[in-house]
Amino acid sequence: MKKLLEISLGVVTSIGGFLEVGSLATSAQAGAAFGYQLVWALVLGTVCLIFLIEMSGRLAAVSGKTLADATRERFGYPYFVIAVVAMSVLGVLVLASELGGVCLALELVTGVHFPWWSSLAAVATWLLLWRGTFGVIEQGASLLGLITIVFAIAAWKRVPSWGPVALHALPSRPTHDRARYWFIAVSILGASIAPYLLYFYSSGAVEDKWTQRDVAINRVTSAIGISFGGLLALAVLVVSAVVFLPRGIQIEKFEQVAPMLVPAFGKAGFYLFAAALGIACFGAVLEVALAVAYMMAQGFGWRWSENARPRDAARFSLEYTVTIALGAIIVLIGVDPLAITMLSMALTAALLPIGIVPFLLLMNDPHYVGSHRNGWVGNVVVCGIVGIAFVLAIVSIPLELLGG
Amino acid sequence: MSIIHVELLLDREVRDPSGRRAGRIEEIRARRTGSEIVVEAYHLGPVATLERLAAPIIRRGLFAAIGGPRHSHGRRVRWDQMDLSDPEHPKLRCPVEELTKLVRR
Amino acid sequence: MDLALIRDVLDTQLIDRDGEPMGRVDGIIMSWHPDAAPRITHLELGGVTLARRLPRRLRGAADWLARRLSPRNGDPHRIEVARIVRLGKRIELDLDASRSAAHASERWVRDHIVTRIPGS
Repeated sequence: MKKLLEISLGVVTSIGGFLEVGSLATSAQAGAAFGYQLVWALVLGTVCLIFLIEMSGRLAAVSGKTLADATRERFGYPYFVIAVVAMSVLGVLVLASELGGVCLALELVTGVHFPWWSSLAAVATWLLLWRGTFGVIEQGASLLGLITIVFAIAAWKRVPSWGPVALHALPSRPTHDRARYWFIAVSILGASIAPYLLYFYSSGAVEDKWTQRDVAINRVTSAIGISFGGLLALAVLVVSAVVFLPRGIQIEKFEQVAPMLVPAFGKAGFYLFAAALGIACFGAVLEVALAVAYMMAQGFGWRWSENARPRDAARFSLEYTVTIALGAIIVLIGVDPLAITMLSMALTAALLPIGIVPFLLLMNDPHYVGSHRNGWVGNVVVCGIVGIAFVLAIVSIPLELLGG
Repeated sequence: MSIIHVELLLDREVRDPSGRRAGRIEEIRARRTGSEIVVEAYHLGPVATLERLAAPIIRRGLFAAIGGPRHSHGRRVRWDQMDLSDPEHPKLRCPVEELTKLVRR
Repeated sequence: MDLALIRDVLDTQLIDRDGEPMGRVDGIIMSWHPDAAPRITHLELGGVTLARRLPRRLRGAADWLARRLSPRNGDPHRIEVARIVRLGKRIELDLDASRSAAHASERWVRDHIVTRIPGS
């Protein structure tokens, strides 16, 4: 039973973390504009994330410390302050895009323009954190998030053959519109390799009191959980390719993505899309808010347990409250959710080295992970993919901003 | 008798009486006896930042696998060999050669 | 007991008698004399202590921010070394966090903001 619960930590992190507005938007855009050509970016992002999530779980299990904890101790305050400021600012942007996703889902169903929903959505997510416990959030989001399987079902029904999809798991050069191709590629990487997931996952592992004996199950959890999310994102990409590309539909606004499940499910498909979008993004809001609060509270040594009542972890509770409020303000003023999503995903990719390089140093330091140090494969894979993401980001963000 | 902030000593460059660089303060070793903590020595590490941060990897020999340094070098300064009357510019009271070398694998 | 001050003491989590988190070791105070072995006298906590560790250009702004956010005008809190019970993954202190000045900002946020919101 405990094993099942632990696997659910991996799955909820995956669904809430992987299939949310970022991966939905980037995968849908990739499919509509380039067919299966960008499947490789998803594969790279998923593989990299599996390694990273497994590492953050292993760090927590062996050292008993969360990622933020170990980072502050090993690298000191001056480095930590850079990381926490960068992650917090990025976190607010990502949270705003996730909250925007929830509000867009509500707009699809009710027709009421999305900014009007921002206060309601913000209060709902905040209330769950204020009154709920980590266990409730974990299992609740896990179960509800399973609705995103509709994308997999749609892919199964609508994709004529999987051979061409598999072919594009290897990188290829774009056949047209180079700047946009690389920008979407980098956004896919940034959407997949979201650092806030690492802070969230290692904190959850410490809250659940993992020990060295959990290292093995952690490998299974992270592999299954993240692969599940990756396959769902792939499903979004291929369905988008099958539905939008032949009609030459370019995705400029999120509303254009909404009908993607209609060919597979009929009219119900529209509502299924809204439900999947809303629920996945709701889970992501919770995770991002917690991840940002965890990082700051742990780094400064405050009480940070989500299981504690707000009055017993006052600064931590205030922190996620402020983060959600700032995100809500961004949505309220009507900033286009698609634009802010693509931008925050690309920025995430550009800032990856700040968080990931020290993380790798930690994972090779016996003082923290004992004999469970990284193998060379893990180091090379992560370094390589993060390096690619960084280079692509530096090159493509300016191009997109200039051309777009 | 002066009050010194230990955390501000980190990374400060140490020179010997003739001005030669001995290294940067990387660690301070102390001994706890009862309710007292007494400083015994300072460890100086390489001057280069990258080498400092990557020290655990260097020690693992991973860098050596791609042709880099196999050991990170350091020097041990006993408490009586260090002059901290100006904490921003720590000075040795002896020449660099008299310091014990630390070779960490 | 042999200690590495930077690796094992600085930036390490502090907990009180009941296991309650009390912040981290932001600074370590050493008493130095040219003819005697230096002694560590206090552990120091606070935003002002942290601000001093930043590069010179950021120090002024960080110090100002730390003092504004502190309920006690920002003077760092010092804990005598004699209060250390155990040094390990976390440093245990012979103190009660709820009465310690180091915990003042946690109490302030709790009393002035968090408890005013229903459901806390």
